Formats: sequence, C-alpha cells, structure tokens
Amino acid sequence: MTAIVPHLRNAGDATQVDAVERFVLSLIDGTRDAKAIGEEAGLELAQIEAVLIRLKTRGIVDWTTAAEDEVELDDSQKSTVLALFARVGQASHYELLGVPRDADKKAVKKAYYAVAMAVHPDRFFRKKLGSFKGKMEIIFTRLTEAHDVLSDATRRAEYDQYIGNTQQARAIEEMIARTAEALARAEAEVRREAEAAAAASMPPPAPATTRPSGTMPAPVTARAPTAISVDDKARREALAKRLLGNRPGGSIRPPGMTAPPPSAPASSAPERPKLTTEEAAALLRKRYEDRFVQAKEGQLKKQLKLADDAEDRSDFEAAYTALRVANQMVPEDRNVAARLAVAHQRAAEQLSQVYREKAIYEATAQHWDESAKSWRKLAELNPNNWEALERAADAIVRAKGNLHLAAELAKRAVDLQPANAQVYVTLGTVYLEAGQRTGARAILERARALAPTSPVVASLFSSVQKLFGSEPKAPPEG
Amino acid sequence: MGEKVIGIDLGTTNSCVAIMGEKGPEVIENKGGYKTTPSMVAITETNRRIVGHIAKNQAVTNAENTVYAAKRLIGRKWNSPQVKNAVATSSYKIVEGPHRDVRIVLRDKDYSVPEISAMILQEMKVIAEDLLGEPVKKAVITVPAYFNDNQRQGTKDAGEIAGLEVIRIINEPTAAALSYGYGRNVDKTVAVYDLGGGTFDISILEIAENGVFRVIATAGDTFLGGEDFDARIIDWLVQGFKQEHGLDLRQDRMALQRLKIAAEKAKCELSGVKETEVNLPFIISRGPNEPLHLQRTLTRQTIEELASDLVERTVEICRQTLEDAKLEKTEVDDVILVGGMTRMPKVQAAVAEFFGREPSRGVHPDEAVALGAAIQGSALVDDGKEMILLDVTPHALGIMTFGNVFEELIPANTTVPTHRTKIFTTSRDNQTAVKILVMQGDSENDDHKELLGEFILTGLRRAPKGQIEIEVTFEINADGIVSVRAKDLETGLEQSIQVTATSGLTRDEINDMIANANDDLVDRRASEEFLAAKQDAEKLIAEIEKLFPQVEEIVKTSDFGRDAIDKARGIIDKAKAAIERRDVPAIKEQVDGLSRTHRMFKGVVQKT
Ligand SMILES: Nc1ncnc2c1ncn2[C@@H]1O[C@H](COP(=O)(O)OP(=O)(O)OP(=O)(O)O)[C@@H](O)[C@H]1O
Ligand SMILES: [Mg+2]
Repeated sequence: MTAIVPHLRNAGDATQVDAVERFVLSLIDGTRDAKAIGEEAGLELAQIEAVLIRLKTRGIVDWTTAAEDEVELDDSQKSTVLALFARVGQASHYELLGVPRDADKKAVKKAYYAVAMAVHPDRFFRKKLGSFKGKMEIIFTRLTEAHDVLSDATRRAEYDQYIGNTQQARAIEEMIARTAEALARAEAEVRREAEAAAAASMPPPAPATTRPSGTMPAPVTARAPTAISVDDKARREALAKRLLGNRPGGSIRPPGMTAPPPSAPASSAPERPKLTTEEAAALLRKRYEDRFVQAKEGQLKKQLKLADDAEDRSDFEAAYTALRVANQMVPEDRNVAARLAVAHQRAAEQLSQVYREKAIYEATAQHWDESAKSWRKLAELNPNNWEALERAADAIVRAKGNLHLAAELAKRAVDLQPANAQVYVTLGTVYLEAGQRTGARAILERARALAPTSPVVASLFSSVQKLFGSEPKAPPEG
Repeated sequence: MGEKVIGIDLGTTNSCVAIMGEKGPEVIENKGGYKTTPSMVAITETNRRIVGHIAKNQAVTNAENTVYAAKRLIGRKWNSPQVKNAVATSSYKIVEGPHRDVRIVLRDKDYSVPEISAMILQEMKVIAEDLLGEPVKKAVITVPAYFNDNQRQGTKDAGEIAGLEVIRIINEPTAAALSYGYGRNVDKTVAVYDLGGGTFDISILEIAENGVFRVIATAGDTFLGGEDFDARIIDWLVQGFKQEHGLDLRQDRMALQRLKIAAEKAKCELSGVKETEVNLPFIISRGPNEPLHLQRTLTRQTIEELASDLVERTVEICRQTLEDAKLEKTEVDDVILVGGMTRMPKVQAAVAEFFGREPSRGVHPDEAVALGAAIQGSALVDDGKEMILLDVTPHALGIMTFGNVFEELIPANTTVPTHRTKIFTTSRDNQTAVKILVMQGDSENDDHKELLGEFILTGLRRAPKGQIEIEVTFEINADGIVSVRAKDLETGLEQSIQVTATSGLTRDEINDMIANANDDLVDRRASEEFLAAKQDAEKLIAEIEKLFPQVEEIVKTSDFGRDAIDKARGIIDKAKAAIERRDVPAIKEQVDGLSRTHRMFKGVVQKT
C-alpha cells in the first residue's frame, strides 16, 4: 500500500482555489501524506484525494508516493505529535513550549523536558514510527531551539525584540492598509449624520413635484462611486419619504429610470406657508449641505483629536492614519497637510527603526534572506538611506540571492556615497561574486583610492587576483 | 521485562560489562572474579587468541604479539599523527591497511583495529552470557564523548564483528552521569571529568528530576590519558639509563614492554605512597656477558612534575567547556570523577582547585561507565522506563565549499536529534553538477576537517554561476546517524546520502571478519569443553592408575580379573588417544568407561 505525499508547485494558478482547497493547500508541507492532511482537514480519504487530484490537474500541487506508514503509536500519541507538528512552522517559541511570555528559565526548562519526554523518538525505541519518527525529530529540533533561545537571557531579549518588531511591523503595515478603509468609514459617517440631521430639522414640505432622485446632494453621490449598499438605499428611501411626505407614488425611482410626469397638487398642510416645489428642493439641498458641512467638521475634529491623542502616546502610526483621513476630508487645509507630512515622517522613522532592528537581528542570526528583505523595506521607506541599500546588497550576496538586484542596490548606494570606501567594497564583492572580474577590479580600485590602508580592500583585491589566476573549483564538478 | 541489553565500557586499558538487574544496574565479574578486564589481546605461539588477564600476564614474553590500547587507533587514518606516534612507541607492529587505514600484524597475520576491539567485546559478551546462562545479542557500547563519527563507526563495526547488535553508542561521561543520577531523583548540574587510560573527556550535564539527562557541553582529547603519563615515566627512565650506561632501552621490544609495566605500576603506587622503587634486573645486556640492571627511585613529586602539563591541559579543556556551556563554576553542583587516572592525587587536587569544590565520591570510577550503558540499554528497550538522554554532537558538521572553505551547518554542542538547512549556489558558469563533501570538524586541530562522505547532485540547468540555488539539509537522527540532502531549488531534484562514516573497513571485509570471529568463538567454546573433559578424564586415569598395583595383586589369580585389567588398560589408552586428538565427544565417551572402571576397581579394593 502506498501513500500520497503532496507538495506545492509554483506552476498553476492558485488564485482560483475555493475555501476547502485553500485550507488543504495550507496543510501541505511536503512531508505529510494525504491521509494525515485529510485527518487534519476533517476530510475522508476519498474527499481529500479528490481535492488533491483537482489541484494536481490545475498544476498547483504534485505528489510523490511513499510506502504506507506502519506506525505503532496509539491515537493520542499520534495526535499529540501531529498537533505539535502542525504548529512547528508558525508558533512562537513561547507558544510551542506552552509557556507565558514572562516564564522564567526554570519554567521554560520544565516545559521543554515535559514535551521532550512525550515526543522524543527514544521513548518509542522499539516501536515502528514510520513517518512519525521524522516528525518527532523535527518537533524536537524546534523545541530545543525554543528552549535554547528562551533560557539564554541575551538571545531571549533579542528574540523578544524580534517578535515585537515583527508584530509591530505587521501592525503598521495593516494600519496603513486600513487607512483607506477608515477614510471610507468616516465619509459614510459624515453622510449619515448629515442626512439624519437634515431630515430631523426639515419642516413637512409642501407636496412637491420634484424628481427626488435628482435632488440628492452632490457630495454624497460624488463620493460614493461604488454601488449603493442596501442599507444606504433603504435609508435614502426613508429620508425621501419624510422629505416628500407620504405622497403616493412618491418613491424614488431606481437610477436610470425617468420620473413620472408631475401629478396634480395633492392635499397639503394648510397651517404652513406653502412652498413651491423648487423652493422646497432648494431648501432641502441647503439644509442637507449645512448639515453635511457640520458633520464633516465634527468628523474632522474627531480625527484631529485622535491624532493629538496618538501623538501624545507617541503612536505615530495611529496619528498618521488619523491625519491622513483628515487630510482627505479637507485637502485644502494647509495646517492638516503640514501635520500629515510630519506624522508621515515620524511613522516612517518608527517603521524604519523597526525594519533596521529586524534586519540587524536577522543578520546576526544569519537569516540573510530575511535580513535582505528588511533592509530593502527600509530602503523603500528611505530611498536615500545608503546604508540600507548597501546592507541589503551585502545580505543578498550572503544569502546567495539575486546578484543583479544586489548590484542595483549597491550602485544606488555608491551614487549616494561616492566618497565612501565601504559602498565600493560591497559593490566590488557583488561583482566578484557574479564573476565580473573587470568590474570588480575597477570598483575595488576606487575603494583602494579612498581607503589605501584598509585590510578588507586588500584582501578583496587578492581574491580578484586569485580568481584571475586559477579556475574556481569548489564545489567541484562531479 | 524485555530482552537483555548489556552495557559495555570498551576502555583503552580496561573494559567492563554491566546489565540491568532486578534491583538496578550491576557490573558482571569475569571468571577470575574481576569487575574489569584488561583490554588486551594476544596471539599465542600455538596461534590461539587470548584476551584479558591472561593476555596481560604473558605480555612481556610475547610483547610483539600482544595488543594493548587498540582504542587509540580505531577509526584513524594511517597518516594521522596519532598513528605515527603509536607506530613509534608500540611493542606490536602497525602497518598501513588497504584503505589508508591501520592494520596490526600478529604472527604474520594482519588484523584491522575493529577486529581487535571485537575480540575484547566478544570476551565481554561471553562474560555476560556465562552469568546469564543465555545468549546475549544486544549491547550499548560507550565511546569517549570526543570521538568523531569514524571512530564511532569503527566501534560499531567492532560490535558487529563480535556478533552484537549495537543498539546505541553513547558517550562515556554521559554514561557515568546516568549511573550517578539513576534512581536518585536529583535536580542538578554536574560536571563529569573522565581521565582514563587513553582519553580525556569532560561533559557538563543537567540532571532533572523527571528523568531527563541533558548534556549542555562536552569536549575532550582522544589522545590524552594514563598512557601518556606512563610514557613520561618511561622517557624519564630511558633517559636516565642512557646517561648512566649509554644504551637505548627502546631498541629492545621486551625491555620496552617491561619498562611500560614498571612505569604504570610505579605511577599507580605513587597515588598511595610518596616514593617508590623501579627495579628491573637484567633489563638489557651489553655484549654477550655484561647484564645491566635498572634501579631508580621515583617520587610523587617527580611524576607530578613530569606530567604537570598533561594535568594542566585537562584543566584548560574544562575551562573551555564551561565557557561553551555558558556556566559559572559556581553553577556546577557536583563534580564526578571517572577513570583510573583520577586516583592520582595531583589530578584530584587540580580538579578540586579548578571547580572550587571537592569532587563527589558518588560513583565508582571504574564501573560507572558500564553501569550507565546498561541503564541506557534498558531505558531504550523497556517502555516503562521514564528516562531520556539528550546528548549533543561534539563536533561541528558542514560542507566544503568554494575555495576549500568549511561552511558549518550544525555547530558543536548541538542537542541531537537535529536538522539544519542552508542554501548554496553554483560557483562556476554552466555548472551542471555539484559535489557535496560532508565534513566533520575536529577541535583538536581547528584547520583539520574529517571527510565523512560525499555525493553528487547532477542535472543542474546551465546558467551563470551563482544563479542555481541548492538547498543543503543536514540531519542527525536520534541514533546519531547523519544524513545529508541536497536539493536543486529550481527543479526540485534531490540527492541524499546517509553518511556512513568509515572505520576503514568495507562491508565485505566486515562480513568476513564476522565469519572469522564466529569461527573463533566456536573454537573457544570447544576448547573450554575440551579442557573440562580432559580434566575429568585425566583425574579418573590418575586414580585408576593409583589403584592398579592393588587390583592386580588381588585379581591376578582369576582369568576374569586379567580380562578386566586388560580392558581397563584399553580404556585408558583410548582416553589418552582421544585427549591427544582433542576429540571432545570421544573423550566424553571414554570418561564414562573410565568412571565405570574406577567404580569397579574401588569395589574390588574395598571388598578385600
Ligand atoms: N591508583 C592509580 N593511580 C594512578 N593511575 C591509575 C591508578 N589506577 C589506575 N590508573 C590508571 O588509569 C588508567 C586506566 O583507567 P581506566 O580503566 O579508567 O581507563 P579506560 O577506561 O580503559 O580508558 P579510556 O576510558 O581512556 O578508554 C591507566 O592508565 C592506569 O594506569
Ligand atoms: Mg574509560
């Protein structure tokens, strides 16, 4: 009996997957077999196989087959292992060990030993473990890492900083993404308030023959290019009813339909002075606009207050978000625009700080790929930050990443710092790595001119010489 | 209770075997009643293999064919400095083997080092079987913590040749800690200082109440032990003799062997007394009739001076290990001394001074390691045992990359099982294959890396160098087996190997050696049986012969009597012939006849 072990392929279009397929995709890790994935996803074997076949025909997954597991573990042991295994990728060290953030060394150790005792393969030495053995070893490696990091004060502080930064960066990114949403919300609120206020203060109008659909105040329609939601529509109809009295047939036409011809004047409220239709409409519009302005001012105040409070808390991202909303409302307001510029600067600084620390941590942990990403994000925020560009290029080289990109970044750093030997060294290293000897030599020549005594420059030079002389051989060709 | 697993401490000088009993782990005594057996093997003039005390006893007269300290050679390459040193100082002959490995020549036959070790392991197996009265198949064998993979593999091969399934190789200091912590329910950080005959190890462990033994850091020197102390004394004696008589004692193998024994004896005595006499009459002769004698007084102070750098070196390694463990001396709750050399007062004092505390007397320095191996054996096969051992890999593992740069994937002192991944790229344009060289670090010499294995990943797309990414994953599983995988990230093509470190022997050679060792075991068993039968027969023959005169006197008058006497003589002759032929079944048959005759003779004598 063989088992299917699916893995993801980069080919195929993964955007068209449905919810079940997406869930299944999230469980595919290249080691679990179809049965295990099915168990996790709550699908029968036949169902999971069907899903996998669908995904395979679309080129999204492929699979290898492996001999069916023979596992001598009981169900609870299996599920302990599977549950831990499923979390190995995402869970933080704290989550994995099941200890609180403030757990002391002793608690960390205790938790580590307890979990280790449950999943260490030696505990099941005589049992057949099949694919579970590898899983246990993977879990155990992660547990050990968690323990080692959390019981070393320095590494733990760095890790805390790192997860703090990661969370913060994510929060900021989300917040920025949400600004648009907040803006839309604020507008909706303004509109709602204006409508409600206008309706409340409106005297019962004389029977009007106006085409009500034409009377909607400009700001709302202008600002609501999207389809009107059911709620909005209902509210508007109710408003119109109140504005126009319960005149039969006085309903709003769906957009695009011509209005019926004005009917004969209907009964009216005799004790009030009668308004003509035009007068009523004008009044209505005026009132509405007044209210709208009022509500907008209220919102503006609210956003500015939010911004003030946020600034007091040094929460520059929140301040930035609030000011962006305010600025959208009153683009002509210089004062708000200026504050927004400052907030943007500060938020960027804060985010930059986060990216910088993250990049440095990742570099120390030799996660060069990650580090390169963080430096690049920093450079995106601060296009003139030569250090970010230079570090990003360096990290890419170390991560053995895309050398074209590295060269691009290093060149930008050189443009910004034409008198700094370090940026030449990095660019030179990129060239060297890419095998462009002449380029490397020319660039290092520049570095030498700037820093004639630097040992780094000297040693790079000698690397260039060496490469000229000898054929690269390792890893040697087999 | 599951199947029996024995624990064997395969020492440089002494070996010890233990097993988990009803009341806990126990050391098994050999036939002579000793708890340890010398790790010595010899081939006698009659081409018999002898092991242990008997081998040790004949070492002087059969110096060239007696192997000691073979452990120092296991898993080593012929051209290593350690082997060179052994070639220069050993009284047996060491030659280069077919795979740049090491062979030992005994009576014109080459033996691999694992084969020699297997003889010792087989002896330990037999010691256990004699006690248990049943065959033993499984074993946990210990090695110095600082052994590399090739040395571990050599030890495993030796186990296999000896007919044992080695279910786990564990580290000696770790084993000692197991026996220290077993059944004690302590929560402590301990340092195990193990100075034996050939190797030095230091391990820092944490013992937790719930049965977890976790090694934090370990280090050592696989060529530093009692043998080196002996060598210092030998040098001193040889030097002095040369000054006095102008003769080099090293030229004479037998003299060297006597010096070696005397030096070790003096060293051990000086652990108890302040001064001792080395007295070797007729050690060598000048010309045909001028015998020379060696006689010198050695004081404790002299030996301490001679070996002070050796002791200092162990302390230095302790300091480094503590640093690697990120611990202060004060955080170590107990220091455990293991190994015969820790009986030397100077060693004890140095350890006490360094750690700032008196070492524990908690474990027996000669037995703790074997006991620990037995404990681990039973923990593995017995599901009820709530105990796990989290050990570390003593050496860094990595691959050799462009420009012969060692790229580390798994650092030393990483808890196993473990796995690590790194991404590499091609180093040349249009490179279609990469060779992955799996290397192991060796902290005795930072620059030196041992090659553990190699494989080739082919089918790479032709591209400028640096563009093709190869993901390399190292994995050490719970059994300590290293596997390495390389994957072309573009195509997903994958190649992997299980790194079987080499002891220097091929699979075929090992199989041959297993067969030979089995033959030998049959031989040995048979010879024991032969000896027993022979003794029985000879005893009866002697008694019958004693009775002959009397019986002849009594029965000479009757025909019947004469018949009986002739028959008796016939049986005795047959028995003697059977003994001559070493024909065990025939001897046994004659023994029956002999005892009948004996009973009959005695009856005749008594009646009158
Ligand atoms: N009383 C003593 N004083 C000094 N040294 C001693 C004493 N007793 C034994 N030794 C030395 O201890 C050494 C043997 O120790 P041990 O039996 O622990 O080594 P081993 O386990 O065979 O070797 P290893 O562990 O290094 O492989 C020998 O060198 C021996 O001379
Ligand atoms: Mg020992």
